[in-house]
Order: sequence, then C-alpha cells, then structure tokens
Amino acid sequence: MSDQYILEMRGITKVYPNGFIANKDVNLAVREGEIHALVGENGAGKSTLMKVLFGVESHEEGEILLHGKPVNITDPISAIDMGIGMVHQHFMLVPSLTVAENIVLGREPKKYGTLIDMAKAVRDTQEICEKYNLKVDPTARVRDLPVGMKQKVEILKALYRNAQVLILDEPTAVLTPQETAELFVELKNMRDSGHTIIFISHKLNEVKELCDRVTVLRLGRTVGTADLDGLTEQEISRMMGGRDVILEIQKDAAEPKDTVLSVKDLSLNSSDGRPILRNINFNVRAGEILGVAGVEGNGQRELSEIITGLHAFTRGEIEIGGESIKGKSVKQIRRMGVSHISEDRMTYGIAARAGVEENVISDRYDMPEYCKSGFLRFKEIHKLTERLIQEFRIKCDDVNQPVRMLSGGNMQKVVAAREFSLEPKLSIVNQPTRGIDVGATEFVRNKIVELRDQGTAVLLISADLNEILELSDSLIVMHGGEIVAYLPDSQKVTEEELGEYMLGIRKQEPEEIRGVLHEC
Amino acid sequence: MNVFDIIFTTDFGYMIFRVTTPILFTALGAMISRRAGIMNISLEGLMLVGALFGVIGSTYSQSVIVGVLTAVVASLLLSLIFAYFVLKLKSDLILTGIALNLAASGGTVFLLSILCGDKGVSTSMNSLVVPNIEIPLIKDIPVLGEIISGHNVLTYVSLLCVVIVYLLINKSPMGLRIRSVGENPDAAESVGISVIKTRFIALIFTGILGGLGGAYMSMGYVSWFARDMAAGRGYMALAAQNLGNGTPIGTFLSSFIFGIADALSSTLQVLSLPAEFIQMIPYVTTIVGLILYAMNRKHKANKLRARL
Amino acid sequence: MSVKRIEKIMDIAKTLVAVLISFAITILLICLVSSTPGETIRDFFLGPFDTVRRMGNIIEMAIPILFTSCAICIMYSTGHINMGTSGCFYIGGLSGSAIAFGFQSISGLHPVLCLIFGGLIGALTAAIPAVLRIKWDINEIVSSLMINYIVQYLGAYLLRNFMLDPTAGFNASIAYEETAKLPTIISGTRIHFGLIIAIAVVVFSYVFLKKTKWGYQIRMMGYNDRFAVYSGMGVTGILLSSQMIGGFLAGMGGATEVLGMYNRFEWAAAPTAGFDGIMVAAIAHRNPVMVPIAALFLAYIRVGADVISRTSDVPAEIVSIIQGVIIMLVGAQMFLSKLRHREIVKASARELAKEESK
Repeated sequence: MSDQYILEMRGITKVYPNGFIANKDVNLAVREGEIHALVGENGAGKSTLMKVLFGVESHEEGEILLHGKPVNITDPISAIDMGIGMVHQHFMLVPSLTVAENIVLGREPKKYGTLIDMAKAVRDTQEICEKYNLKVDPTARVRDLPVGMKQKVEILKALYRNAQVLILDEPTAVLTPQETAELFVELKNMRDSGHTIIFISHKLNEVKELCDRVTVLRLGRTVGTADLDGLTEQEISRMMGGRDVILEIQKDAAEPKDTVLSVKDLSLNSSDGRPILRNINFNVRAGEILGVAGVEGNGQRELSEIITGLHAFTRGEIEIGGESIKGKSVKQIRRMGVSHISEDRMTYGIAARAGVEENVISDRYDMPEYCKSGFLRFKEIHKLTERLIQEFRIKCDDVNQPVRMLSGGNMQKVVAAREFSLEPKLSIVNQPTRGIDVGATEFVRNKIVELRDQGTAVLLISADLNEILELSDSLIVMHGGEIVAYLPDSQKVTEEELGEYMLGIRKQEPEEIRGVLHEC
Repeated sequence: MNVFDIIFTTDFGYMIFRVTTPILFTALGAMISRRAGIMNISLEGLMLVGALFGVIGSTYSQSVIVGVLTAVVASLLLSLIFAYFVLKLKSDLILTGIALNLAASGGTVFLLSILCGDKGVSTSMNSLVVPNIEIPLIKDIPVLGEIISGHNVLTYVSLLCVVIVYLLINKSPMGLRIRSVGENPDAAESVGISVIKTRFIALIFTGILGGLGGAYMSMGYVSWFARDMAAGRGYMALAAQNLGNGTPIGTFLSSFIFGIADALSSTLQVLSLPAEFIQMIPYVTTIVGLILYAMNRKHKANKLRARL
Repeated sequence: MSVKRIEKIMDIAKTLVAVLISFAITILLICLVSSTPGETIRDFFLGPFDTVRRMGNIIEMAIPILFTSCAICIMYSTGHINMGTSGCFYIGGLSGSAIAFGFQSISGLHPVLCLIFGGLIGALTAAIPAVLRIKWDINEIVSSLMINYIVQYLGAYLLRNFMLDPTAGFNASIAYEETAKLPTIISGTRIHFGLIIAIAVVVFSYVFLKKTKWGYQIRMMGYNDRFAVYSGMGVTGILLSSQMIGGFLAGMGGATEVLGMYNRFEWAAAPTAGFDGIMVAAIAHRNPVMVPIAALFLAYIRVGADVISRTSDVPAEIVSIIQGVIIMLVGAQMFLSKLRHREIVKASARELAKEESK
C-alpha cells in the first residue's frame, strides 16, 4: 500500500432533477492498492457519489483527480477507459446472453474483421477466471445463474476491462454470510495483486473485517476519513448518524391469538415448468410477526403475491380467517382485511406520477366514506390524507404533490400509511425498509410492531437478516421453494445458523418444521 | 374461375414475391428497431417519404441508382429526426411516430403538389423504375424458374437483406450491442456501450430499410408515387416482426404470410366477391395472425405450467 | 417556488415555444414555395379572422375534434393508445346516417337516436383492440390501425350496397330526413347544434376523469397499471370500459358531424378527426379542460391553411407539417430541460439556504 492517492474527488455537489441534493461538497481520497470503505446510512449519498465517479450521473460542482491529474468523466465509457470499474447494486447483466457474451460486451474479439470471435471470447473469459480464481462457466446463460454467480460475472466484467479501481456498491446485500466470506477472500486477492477497491456498505462489521480505511458520509456530506486500525464500530457508527446503525426495536413478547392465515400444501410451477413453491405449510396467528427469511428468489415473492391475490394458484389451499381465498380477486382479498407492502415499491407500491392523496386512497376510493354515487368525496379524502401525513410524518409540500418528488423513505411511508391504516387483520410485509433512510426505517419498523400489538397477523418477508431477527417473533426459512426450517424464537437465532439454512446447507426434519402450524 | 385456379399458378407465386418485397424490407427495419428496444411506428412515414423521393430523384437525375439513393437518404433523414426526438429529447415514442407519419402523409402531398401540381399521383413526372432481372440457370427450371426469376432487382436485394440482417443481429458485435441495449439498457451502459448511440445506429438501419421499401413501391411495384401509397404496410411490417418474434428468419417468414394475403387481395379481385372484402384481407390477416401467434404462445406456456 | 410549480410553468412555456418554432417553420416554408410570401403569410395567420364565415369555419372544424380528443383523453389516460378513434368516428358517422335516412321520427328525438346509435357502434369498434389486448396481449396500436382500414372498407361496402342513392349523382347515401339534421345555431355560419353537444362532452369528460371513481381508476391505471392491480382494481374491466366510452364519444362525434354539416353520407375515407384527436389530447396533456384551447388552435391553423390554398400557390397540406412539429416538441421531455433543471437547482439551493439559516 502506498501513500499516494490514486483517486480524489473534491467538493462534489449533485442535485437531482427533482431538486433533491444528494451530495454537497463531498470529498473522497483513495490510496493506491487499498480497500477503501465508503459508509453511511441509506440515503447518505454513497451510491450517488459513485455514480458521479463512474460517469452515470453528472455533477454540478467539484472535480475528480486520477493519479493527481484532474479528469473529466462524462460517461461510463470514459470511466472504463481510465481504469474504473463498477459492480452495481442491481446487476447490470443481459439475462438472455451467455456469461462470455456479457463479459466481452462492448469489447468483443473479432474475426474476419466484422463478426464476433465467440471461441476467443470464451477463452478470454476462462483465462481471467483462472487468474483471479473466480469459478464461472463462460457458456452458461446468465438468466440461469444464482445470485452469487451473477456477482462474479459482474466482477469479471470489470477485470476484463482492466479496471484498476473497482467500485462495489453494497455487494453483500444480496449474499448469504457464506457467500460474503468467499467474496471477501476474492477481494483481498485482488487487492494483493494491485487493484484498488472502493467498498460501499452500511454493515460495519464487514467494513471492519475487510477494509483498510474508511470515509463516512452523512446527509450528503463528508463527515471524515480515517484508518480503520484502532477505530471501533461504535466510533464509526457515531460518525455516520450519531447512533448505532443496528436498530434495536423495542417490543414486548407477542401474545398470539387465533390463526388468521393458514397456508396448506401450496405448490406452484413457473411458466417454463420449474417448481417455485413446493408444498408450503404454515400458519400465522393474530398478534404475531412471522418472519420469512431466505435468499431472494427462493419463492418468497410468489408466496406473497399468491396470498394477496396477485398470482393465481391451483394446488394447495389458503385460508384467511377460515375463509378460502381460492379464485378471489385482489379486491375481494383486500376487503377480507388483508394489506400488502410490496417488495418493489416503484413497480407496485405507488403511482409515482400521482399525488400523495391519490396514492393513499387507492385501496378505499370506492368505500362509502370516500365515494358517493360514483363521485369522489374530496373533502373526506383531504381529511384522511392530512391525518395520515401527520400520523406517518410524511414530508411533502401538499396532499397533491406527485409522489415521485418525495424521498424513498417518504414514499415508503406513503405506502405504509395506506396499508396500515385500515386496521388489517393480516398484513403481508415484503422488504418494508429496502433502500430507505434510517429514520424512515426505524419509523416503519415501529409501526409494524404497533400493528402487531393491535392484533394484526403479520407475515414479514425480508432479505435483511438484522431486520428479520429484530422484528419477527418466530420465523421460517425458505430455500428452493421449500420451508427448510422453523425457528420458534427469533431472539435465539444467530446469523450464521440462519445463513446455513438460507444456503440450503442445513435442513430441519419435517416434524420440526410442522411446529409452525401450532397444533398442540 | 375459382380461388384455387388462381392460387395454384406460377403467376400467383411470382406475385407473392412481388408484393412481399416492400413488407419484408420494412419488417426487417422494424425488427432491428425492436431488438434495440424501440417500438417504431414511423415506418409508414419512412416508406412514403422513400417512395416520393425515389420518384423525385430518378426524375431529376434520370438515373435509377440516384433515384434509389435519394429514397434511402430521405428516409434515413426522417429516421434520424425520429431518433433525435425519441433518443435525445426523450419524446414519447408513439406520439412521435404518429406525428412523423402525419407529417409524412401531408408533407409528401405538399411536395407532390408543388412539384407537379397534382395532389394525387406523380404520373406527370418522368420517373424511372428499377429493372427486373432474369437469373441465369434458375430461370430455365420449370415452375420454380417462373416464380423466382425475373423479379425486380430490389426484390433480390430484400432477400439479401435477410441474410445481412441475420449476420448483423446474431453474429456481429453491433448486433450483440443492439440486443443488449434492447434487453437491458442499464447493463449496456455499464460496460460503456452508449445506449443512445446504439439505438441511433439501429434507427439508421431502419431508415435505410424503410427507404428501400419505399423506393420499391414507387420504382418497382408501380412506376409512380400516389398519396398514402404505403397503405398501412409500415404498420403491417410492425405486425410481421411481432409475429416473427423479433428474429430475422421469423420476420422473413411472417412477411411472406402478409405477402400472400396482399397477393390474394390483388388477385382475387377478378372474383365476384365484393372488392371491399378482398381489400380487407391483408389487414384481417394481420389481426388473425397476431391472435394465432398469441394463442400458440399461451398454449405452450400452459402446457409447461401443467407439467409437474 | 416549489418544484411542482416550476414544472407546471415550464410545461406551458414548452407548448408556447413549440408553437412558435412551428410557426417559424411555416413562415420559412411559405417563403420557399410561395411567389407572394408576404401576402400568403398574412393570409395564413390573419385570414381565418377576415370574415364571420371563416371564423365560423374555425368553430365548425373544432367541433369534431372536441369529440375525438375527449375520447382520446379518456382512452389514453389508461396508458394505452388506441388509434381506433379514426375508425370509430367514421363508422359512427355512417351508422348515424343509416338512422337519419332509414327511420322516421320527430325532430327532437331523431338526432338523439342517430347520435346514440353512432356512439354504440363506435363503442363496439373501440372494444375490439381492448379485447384483443386483454385476451391475447396483442398490441393495441397495431390492431387498432388495422381495424381502421377494415372499418373503412366495410363502410365503403355498406355505402355501395345498402345506402347508395343512385340519383345523388355521386357516391353518397340517401338524403337524411329533415327531422334528423342538427340545426344551425349562428346565422351566417354553419355552426350547428353539435357545438353545444361538444361542450357537454368536454364537461362530461372532465368531470368523469377528475371527479368520479371511474376516472380515478382510469388515471391510476395509466400512471402505473401494476399499482392499480396491486391496489385491487380490475384493470381489464377498466381498460375495456374506458375504450368503449372513448369509442362512444368518437362515434357520436362522427354522427354529430354528418348531421350538422352534410345532407347525405359521403365520406370515401375516414376524415382526419381521429388522428387530430390524438394530437389535441397530446397538446392538452390529456386534460379535457385544455382540450377546447388546443382544438380551436388546431382548427385555426387548418382554416389558415385552407385560406392560403385558395388564395396562393401553397398547398393546404402544409398544416400537417406544422402539426407534426408541434406534437413532437410538446411530447419531448428534454426539450428546454436544461432551463428547467437550472430553475429547479436554483429553487433547491434557496430552500437549503433557508433551512440552514434557521
């Protein structure tokens, strides 16, 4: 490691078209051959800063220096040419292409001067795989690969382009603890062979384990940079937000009552015949939070879509309050007292171009309180919206402000305001705090507990281990479309144990799993 | 005369190639746009402009080649305008397409009226046609020779274009980029492929193919320009590539289905059926074709889902 | 000033600049092709106001556009562009005509029957692309364009075989009963009772879209159809009904047009009103309140073009070029976006400064 800065960002300011100031006067200096952590709460401006560095976003003020010389990075092409590579939080891969095609994309080896030399592309891919000890099959189609593999393809893409500085945007968010450990070994390898790595995270234990130095951002500004040696997690955490990032939610022990949701022998195949859900059985009782842990893509999404009526099912049975939901529409199910926070806020949870008010009433606009002989009762609707804005502390200019102008946290509060305010019997809560700031996260989590205490049965699906362990009373783990474990007391579960179930390394006996049915 | 007497003749076979040509050109163009992620309804306008400028170019230069080039360049320019608005100014794809088609429909009549004082057809202009050629050897094969030889040069160019477009999309770096831009623009952008630039290039190909389709209309299919002579072929081309599932070969085959429908509508006019119904055939075929395609796809998906 | 306000103001500015640019292009084109550019330019811009009759023309021409653009506002608000308004308008005119000469009725009731029948047939026509979309996921743009052609051929067939009046001297239907025609309401012009109906349609469309639960559903589906599904709305029903309501308005517009402006049905092809509707709805940002202004504007440049095609050597088709430029610029998000971004950055900076000084 040398003391020379390979990369410096000075006084970067970025304002988004909707007026949101994501970075204000941010400074970052990275030494050659180090793993430099960039930490901060969700919404602190880490991703934006890296997008500026990679040329995805333009910046209003400030300069970027590479090897001490000012450079002008206008787009990803110039960033790549300067030896900067980025592994994005959401994978940037073309699913229908092979691994090799994805890797050579944009720098294809040619034959006859015009056509792609596929054989060479495969060879080249294999070579880098071997050099960095990353094992991927170059001829596999990317859509068939598991998440961890896809991430390797992303890293290979950057290495194929001779990246000297590699940016990883929250790479561990989608990985199991075991996959994370593997990734860290690979990253340390790369550092030792001379690469510089910028590692974005808000998980301080990982930062402490992997990185050499750290820069902390808060509310779009730089707090400072420090050596990680001799710095405790608590000290970093104080720099980040003045409190511990691992949120501790205050809650009393659950007092479960009657079964509200019961899922029996539920199975589902995908449109290409692959099994997605296999023989799922569980019950959720009033006044308890049942967590569903698991690596994403193991059937959780389909499960929540089936229970809320968004996805049809043929095999198995689902009852809510003793009544079957087979063949019922989303509206009918909602009217049975079911509410739903979707994992994909922008796709399902909100209409971004519509106002706060219009978003809040989407599940009740035709109830007599808000609609009389076809006409909307705007007075009542205003009153409701104003009340919810207050209660959920939604920060907006007025009730008609388009939701797209709000921050992620406030958008999610709009969703929560709608989904939690009709006194639901059952609430399906999927990734409730993904990508939102800490304040909003804490708020939403407390609301979920509040909901439980009012007697709602909550099914919480989350890939965030901390969240699932903090919030759930008991939990099940899904792997490959199956329930592989039932853990009756979340307090007694360790992340490692959970990780093993999530990866499918461990599996409980059927009798143990049956515990989730609460049949004494 | 009955229907089969008409269909099972070499004349009818020949006719199919003749009427498929313009649809094939534009459908290939539509396909390239689609693979780049652009639903391109401006092809109707590109064809019209190409058709008119083919006539103008050949009239004033008295050269067939210049005529065809003029058609291609004019269509290309229009396609670039489309590209600029859609890609740079982020205009709504469909609205821009409609606007261009309306402007092309009126604009061609505007120009026609200024150039030859007629708002209907360009017969007063002394324009040229692209010649037909006999293919040696093949022309002597009975039946087949009569069907596939002796066509307009542009008909053969359209067949050649199928091969070129196949190589371009499936085997060339540009094709890989076009496909990646259409499937996941963010992924393409992340490896330094400019989405806008790639789409611009795709639209250039589309413009060229649309211009060739237009040139064939006024310099081969008939020897004049008539107002709104594209008559929905640009839209049909869009349907054809849809039916062909965005692959060059599929597009080629489905273009032929539309060609047959079009050929039927021209040939069956001698029958006692009402002319209007015969003229409807290509449009009805388009819808029926899309329904059959969708039913087949649905059926396959259901079968897979039922399998345990 | 809030970001929302800046966006609103910039939207208006954008429309105005688009109009100005298109006018500049018009002037340029006229200078290029006209032998008397000065006069022609004057005629184009001021000609429509020269006589009461021409001013009447503007209104007459705006009437059918009001119907089709309101139809598009409702249909397009679901996020699906059905291009079938052209076919609906045509078939509505034809069906209305059939009632107008085929049946006897009293004068108050007769046009009502014609309009309703024309509307119903229009609604059925508009339902086809919606059904194709719902059942087979077929792109409604392609299918509705095809249906426009089919409808026109069908119309031509019906006219030739069942409606033709051989004594008319041209390809036209039997003359309408006097009881069916819509009366002229302003003497000296041909402005007919259809204007009142058209205004009612605009008011209806506004109230329907913005004030009722059905309009709310339609708009939410247009903003984000998956959000609508997730919230429990039946999007297939919304899609089908909105397309049918739009088709009804367009069909009724066709019937209104034939009964107000003609004595017989004589359309050889679909009039431009259908596509005009798409354009006007786009300029009006799908808001029925803005529709009359946009429709009158379009009618105004149409009449201007008509005037110069008669008084000069410039063909009336110049108008389609103007139209094209306006729609493309109005629809362009990034047009003037730098200016907009600058204003928003400034406003945000002010907000921040205010917050910090607290």
